[in-house]
Amino acid sequence: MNLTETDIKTLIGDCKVGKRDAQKALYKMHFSFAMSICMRYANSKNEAQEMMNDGFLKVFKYIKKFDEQRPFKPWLKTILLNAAIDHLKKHSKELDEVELEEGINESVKDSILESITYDEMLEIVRKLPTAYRTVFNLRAIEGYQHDEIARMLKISVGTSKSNYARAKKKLQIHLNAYFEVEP
Amino acid sequence: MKEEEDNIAQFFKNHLAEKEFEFDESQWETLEKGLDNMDDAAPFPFFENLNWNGKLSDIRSVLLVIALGGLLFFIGWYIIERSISENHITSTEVVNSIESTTKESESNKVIENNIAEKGNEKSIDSNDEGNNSVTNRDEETAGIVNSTKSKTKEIDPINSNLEDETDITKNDDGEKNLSNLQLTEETNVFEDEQKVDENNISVEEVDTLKREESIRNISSQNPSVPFNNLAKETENYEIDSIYTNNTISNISQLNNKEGELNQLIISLKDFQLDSIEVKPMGIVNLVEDEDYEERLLPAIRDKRWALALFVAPDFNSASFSELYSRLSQAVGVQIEYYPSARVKIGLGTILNNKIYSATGEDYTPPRAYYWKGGIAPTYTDARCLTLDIPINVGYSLFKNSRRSIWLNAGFSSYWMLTENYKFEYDTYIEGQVEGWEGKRENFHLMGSLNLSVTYEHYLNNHFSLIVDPYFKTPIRGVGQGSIYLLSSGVNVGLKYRFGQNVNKQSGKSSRSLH
Repeated sequence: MNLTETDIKTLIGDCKVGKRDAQKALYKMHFSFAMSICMRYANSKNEAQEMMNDGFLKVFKYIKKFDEQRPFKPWLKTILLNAAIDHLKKHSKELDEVELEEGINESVKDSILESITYDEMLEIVRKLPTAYRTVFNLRAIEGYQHDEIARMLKISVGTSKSNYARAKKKLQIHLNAYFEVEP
Repeated sequence: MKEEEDNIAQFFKNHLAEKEFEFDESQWETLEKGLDNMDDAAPFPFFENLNWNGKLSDIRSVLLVIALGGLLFFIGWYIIERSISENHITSTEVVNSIESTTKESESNKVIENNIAEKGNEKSIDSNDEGNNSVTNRDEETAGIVNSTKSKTKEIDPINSNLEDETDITKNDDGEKNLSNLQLTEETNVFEDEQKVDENNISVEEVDTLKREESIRNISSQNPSVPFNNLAKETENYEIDSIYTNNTISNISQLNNKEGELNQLIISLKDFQLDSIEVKPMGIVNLVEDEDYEERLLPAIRDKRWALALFVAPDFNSASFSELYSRLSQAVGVQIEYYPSARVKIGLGTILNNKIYSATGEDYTPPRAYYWKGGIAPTYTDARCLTLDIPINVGYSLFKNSRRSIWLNAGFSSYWMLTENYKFEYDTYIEGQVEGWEGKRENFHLMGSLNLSVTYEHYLNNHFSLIVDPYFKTPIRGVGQGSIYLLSSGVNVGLKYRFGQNVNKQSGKSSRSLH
């Protein structure tokens, strides 16, 4: 589906007046983008779909407030991230938890890393505690600063930094275990 | 070490940033259901920006409810207040109209002739056009009748009563109208003790003659039933329980003038009336006092506000068949304003612990895809603490000095303070949602239509007991599950009416009107 900026603006304009076919077209157009974001935060595909649809409900609810002169994707991404965080909070997943540090094993070699698939990487990320994984995603992949993450998750900046550091260490452990790298 | 960690972060960023996912039509269908629910839950576009069924993120919604309630309240107050004022003016105009159309009536002449026959040396001028009316007579005897102040108090009820007489006027029966008008007016003027006209003829005597003549006029038109023994029979009957169809509608007023009742009855000995029904005492206690509002007009102005406290056994369910299966509790307070004796407006707050059950079909969360694997629970157990904010308008179906019955209707808005749902499934799969809890997540403007009937029993001038069976039918779904919740129960409580005692103001009754 190759739509121009004008087409997208037209779609958004139709969405603002509640046209269902326009909503479906916009949803379909951004389905992959939205799923790929939510998959990083969810424990399963089903949960990611719930997060994504939560996000799109908010998108269509508040689309009248969207300024069509601005790009749509960043706005959508922000809403999806907030929906994902809300979802995690609602399901009583502590986002400020701190786990004891574990020993760091030998680093995984780059050559091995290159052979890992998306699903395998996703599986490793999902092994992280929710608090670590969320901060890791927001910092490493979305590119937010720790003070922004702290506001989003309602945690302290220190907790954000700490969880991010521990997430990286844990990822290394899990990667080692996954590839059965000897300590 | 730090560098390695940063490499890992970069590695994950590169590989997890985006992946192609094929569009899933079923996901759109579930989202579409959610959109449909969202549309249903927000029928008023005006309120769209206030998150009506979403989180109550600020107090704007509450302020809006209060503002709307206040607006409705004052609009109602203004309309009714204006209506009362116009009725008062209309009544006065009716009096003047009746006066002008009956100036030349034979009744007047007969009265004057009778006065002459009484042997008065100075007869009343037969061309005097003011003798028939309250207004004109007041004017002409202004210098003679020195109880003007007390008369003024009587004018309002008289004028109000005359509104009923207007209907009779339309029957093309001018004499009859005049007679009724005179009878009513004469009765109220009984209390004037010093009545001497400018010719030294006692006004009381003139009144008596007029009354007798008026009664004869009425009698001549109602020749069927003899009234000779009425005085004797009336001793065993309650005056309030006398019904009249069209002629002497205000006879019940005479119960306040016991001394003069017999006098009137004696003077009615030649009077025949076919439209009177007399009922024994004790049988018809629920007889409407038609002059209630008029007689207690000062009290209406003095006791317009009331505060009611009540508790209720409350029943809730998503289906009528299950409505009375689980008991909940409610406690509330309502402030009431009475723009007239017949109408009241109430704004309340009710804390309600709602315990009810619903099926999976009844419980429809905004996310239709909420249910794992699309399997909805077969049963939902709900416990919700809600703040019910009702605004109701009541109309008095019946009232007398001891009790009243009101029919009320209005709307309730709900603020869900806490919500706790537990789900039960017929089919269990891993990861099913077991329940949901929330605090102050949902607010619903005008979530239900209220209907109730209030029985009020007056204990004294200020306090009364109220029993108020009610039924609330949903307008929209409430709570996280958008459940269309029926409610029913009985409010039982105590009401306090603000204001001074009526008897201090009017000297007529110690009862309140509400």
